[in-house]
Amino acid sequence: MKKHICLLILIISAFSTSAQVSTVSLNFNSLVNNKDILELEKPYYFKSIQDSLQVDVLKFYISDVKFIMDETILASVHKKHFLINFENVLSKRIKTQISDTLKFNKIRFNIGIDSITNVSGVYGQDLDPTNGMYWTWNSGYINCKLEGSSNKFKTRKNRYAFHLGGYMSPFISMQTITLEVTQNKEIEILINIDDFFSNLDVTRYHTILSPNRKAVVVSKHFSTVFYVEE
Amino acid sequence: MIKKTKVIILIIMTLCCVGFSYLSLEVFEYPSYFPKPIYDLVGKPLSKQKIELGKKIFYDPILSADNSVSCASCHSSYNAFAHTDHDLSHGINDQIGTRNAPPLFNLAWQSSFMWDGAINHLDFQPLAPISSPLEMGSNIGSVVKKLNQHPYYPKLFYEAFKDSIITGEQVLIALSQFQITLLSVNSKYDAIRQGVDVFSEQEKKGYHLFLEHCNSCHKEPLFFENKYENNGLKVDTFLNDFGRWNITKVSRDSLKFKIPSLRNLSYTKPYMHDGRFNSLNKVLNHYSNEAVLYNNLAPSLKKGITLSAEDKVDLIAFLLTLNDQKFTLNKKHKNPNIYP
Repeated sequence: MKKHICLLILIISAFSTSAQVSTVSLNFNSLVNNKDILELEKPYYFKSIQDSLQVDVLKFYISDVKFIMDETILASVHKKHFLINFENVLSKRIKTQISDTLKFNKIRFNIGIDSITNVSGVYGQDLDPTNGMYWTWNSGYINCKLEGSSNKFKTRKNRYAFHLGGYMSPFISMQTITLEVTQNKEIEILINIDDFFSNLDVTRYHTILSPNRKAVVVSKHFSTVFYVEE
Repeated sequence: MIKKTKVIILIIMTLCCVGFSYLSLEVFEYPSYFPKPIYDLVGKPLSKQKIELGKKIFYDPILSADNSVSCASCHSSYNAFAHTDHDLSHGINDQIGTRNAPPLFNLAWQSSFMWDGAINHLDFQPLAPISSPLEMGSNIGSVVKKLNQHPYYPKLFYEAFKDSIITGEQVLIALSQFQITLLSVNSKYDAIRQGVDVFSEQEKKGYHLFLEHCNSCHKEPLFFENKYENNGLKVDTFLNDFGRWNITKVSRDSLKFKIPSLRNLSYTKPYMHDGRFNSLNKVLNHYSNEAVLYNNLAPSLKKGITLSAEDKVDLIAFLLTLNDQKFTLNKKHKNPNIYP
């Protein structure tokens, strides 16, 4: 009996020492003209491109989120893949538990799905092919979908559509980025849509629907417009 | 002591309950002379419920936009799950596709699918015909929606996956599990490998010709390789199908197609990616006389294959030992929606 009580105490104490954790949220958003939160299917006048533009679809995968101090990886988010879909508010927030003793000053993550996951068969939840982020005629996840319209694009109905993906050499589209952050319970990660369109050659890049060289170029460009709001 | 025994009995009883209420796992058995399967059966073990569910979906036209075409429409069990006498596959509204529907068997050893290897895993293969406007003209999202609203599918999925909502992942895993059980390992060749039968003189001659001319690509005992080769076919200028090049866009892959299995040839004609040859004689004539000398022609074809008329007859006699009627007549693989 005594033994059992000892064991119980041990278990309780183990739980109570490891209980010093906080929830950290990574919140993904996009600001228009550095002030308005981007809403889908709504035209905005963009100062940077001096034209109006609207975004109808913005979905992308974030994977392998890591918390880093200088160059040391301290912790990884247990769930590997998150589909951030601007249509669904809940999906724009990645929540994780982090021990209070861990001090970090950077976060690192992939935009897209790694090649091993791409060749390992079907998965559920965020990776379920019903999410519309999987190519059916040529295997592979679509890392990012960005669609909409603007007079800037001299295409049918002024539409632009970027379905960015590809996991096989030489068209590997997944990007890894590291952002400096201040340790906080809420980390705001913003996508600078102004920069994305103002620094894009819209005559060359307007419709990308398969893994190819252009998809790699635009994927790299997309990864440079992520920043953290201080 | 009594207490201990009670505890043990309790544990055993709990384990039994868990065991019986959950899935009955199936053992995947294959001949000892086969290599290890490529499909990860450890990570996704076969279960009776999932296999049966996959079979039901395979035979159900619910997968197509207008509920008219099922997987079995082009993959008939009687033809080793190919489409005998149809050079190109069919789809909704009597549309004709661009490729010959390949037979389905021994898929656990296949690392890529489609004639151009566009699909990298068995789990994802069904997405292509489901979504193709020339085949089923639907998408996995609406299939899942239809299944969730169906009078009996939710119950069957629950029994197989213990989940009250049907997902795309579950549909694809069930289809994979059924297709993995399509094993063709009972041909005369297999009986010979197992030492319970022997080749006739003619078959033996044919076997040696096979080893000399064919085995470098159609490697025994599976009689295929997970590779692509250009086998010297003239381009069909209507289809303009450049095979593997369509996927990689690399010129050395131009006109390369997946090396298909030579098992069950009697049931799977016509042959080649576009079903252009309707007899084995025509196939052998192609290899011995008609192959176009492309730069990237398969190395084994570059030196040319010389076959006399007699050689061709012998070679075909051997190829027919790869027919597996136990497989094509196996009741376990037939339509459960007709034979419950």
